[in-house]
Amino acid sequence: MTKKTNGPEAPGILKPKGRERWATRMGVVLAMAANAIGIGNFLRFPVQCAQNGGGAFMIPYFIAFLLIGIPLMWIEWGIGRFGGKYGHGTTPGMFHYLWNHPLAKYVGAIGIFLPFGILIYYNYIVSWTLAYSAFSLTGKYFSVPSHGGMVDFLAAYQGKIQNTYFQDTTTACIFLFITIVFLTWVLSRGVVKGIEALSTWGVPVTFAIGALLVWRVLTLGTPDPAYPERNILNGLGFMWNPNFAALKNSKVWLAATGQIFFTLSVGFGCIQTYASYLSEKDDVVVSGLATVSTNEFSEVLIGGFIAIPVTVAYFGILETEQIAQAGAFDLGFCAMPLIFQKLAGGQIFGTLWFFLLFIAGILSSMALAQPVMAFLQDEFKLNRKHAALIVGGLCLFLSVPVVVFLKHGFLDEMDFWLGTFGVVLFAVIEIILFMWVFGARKAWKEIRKGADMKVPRFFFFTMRYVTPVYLTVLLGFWFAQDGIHVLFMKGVAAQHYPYVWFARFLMTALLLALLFLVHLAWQRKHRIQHRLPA
Amino acid sequence: MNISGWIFMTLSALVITALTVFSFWKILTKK
Repeated sequence: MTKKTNGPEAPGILKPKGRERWATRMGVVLAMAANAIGIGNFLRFPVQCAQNGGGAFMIPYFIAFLLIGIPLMWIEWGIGRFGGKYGHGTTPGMFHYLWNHPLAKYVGAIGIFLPFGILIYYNYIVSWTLAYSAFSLTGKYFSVPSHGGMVDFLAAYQGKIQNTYFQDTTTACIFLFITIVFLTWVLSRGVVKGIEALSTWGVPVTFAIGALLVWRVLTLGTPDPAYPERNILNGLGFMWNPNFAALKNSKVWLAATGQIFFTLSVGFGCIQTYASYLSEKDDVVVSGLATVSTNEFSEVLIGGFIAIPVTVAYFGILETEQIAQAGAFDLGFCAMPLIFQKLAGGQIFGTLWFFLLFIAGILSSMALAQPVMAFLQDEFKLNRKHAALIVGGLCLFLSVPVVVFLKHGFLDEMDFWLGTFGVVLFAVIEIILFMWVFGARKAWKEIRKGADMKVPRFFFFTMRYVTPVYLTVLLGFWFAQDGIHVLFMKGVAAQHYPYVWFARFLMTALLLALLFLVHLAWQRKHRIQHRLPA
Repeated sequence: MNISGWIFMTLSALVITALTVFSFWKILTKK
């Protein structure tokens, strides 16, 4: 394992002794798909599609899929497998070999910082879905009569207000605790018995529940004969009828590109970690393609046929437009529960809907946690149970301000810098490192190694020129459009300033702590390499 | 839903299904 590479020979080379490997090829594809399939597939996509030109949205969506989605997926699989052969499951080690520079490992620390930072608040969102699944089963929200009532129900659950349903966040904390304990348990079982095993049943269950819900929605017809225009065909029309004029609007193109980016979970550092558990001869091309297509199947063919069409069938087009404008969470947590109240067998279908979101979410949480797990295991030789306990404990501790300060915009602040801006920035960095610093020809060869199909030459030029330019433009637009407003806290009430600053402090402290750990890890390697005393 | 809506919905479904079937067929039939 001391093959000559582009990167420095010392002190990074350690034989990847004891690193786990995926047990089956189908297992790795399903684990990668599980990483990509998230809550956004079922809530964010239908809202984006309906708001941005309907069927016409699919034109920029498929273009972004071809120019950003597929190339980035192959690049991240390629970087991950490349790093794995040197025993590195995270981007500090991977970048160390791609870029022969002392700074490389510190730039790579972003690939642990982003997923772990996102995990801290994403767990909380995942726990809401588990809670709502339980509320559906027990019928807790079935007495809430209106959309406004459901908005208050959610706000009280989150501790923003108090009402007869919730006085504080105790219930929310219990479900968060269950979510984090379950996540910790899965992580402690390792890559094969934990992640691969859960993904192997989790993804098919997601598809089975999704198919059942799609069938229920498509067979609804006209639920209320008093409103004949409120029917499923009109719901599908609202979702799919193309508005070609929307294509002249640059915001529609940005929305489609953003949707492709987030749905495939590229730029998070998670795909690289999962791919590091491949062997050097494993294919990444067909497996990567299977991952993106599985994700698209769940998003377009399941996500596109549930929430929006059923909302139109029950509330009509005007009210659905208002719900869609209020965002994906409003659709999922406020509109859908009202529909389950009216639907025959609504308690069962509500339970299934939120359980579907929970499985999709927890599988993504698992992927978000794995980079920091791999970092502790690979660079500090911690066993997986200790690493899982540390990660689970940190998640519990750091989620406290997310829960307590939610009403002050704490979660939104973290989500913008980590989950929106940070991931696109990291994608730009990694593509430049791989295609330009490491070298386009070597990168191309690395991706095609062991490939089960010929990769069209078109993708070589796309990866080298088109994808980085496309992403940089996206990043620039976002920063100009939203970033400056968020940075200077425009529209944020003065009483929320301390909480927004606290969120920024927490993110900065987390990043500095990870940079220090990377420094320590490399010092440790150096000592081992030269057999120096500690 | 109008005819264009049907066309876009069907085409999207066909493209994604074809890609999914192709990639899994390649994986499952690999010797």
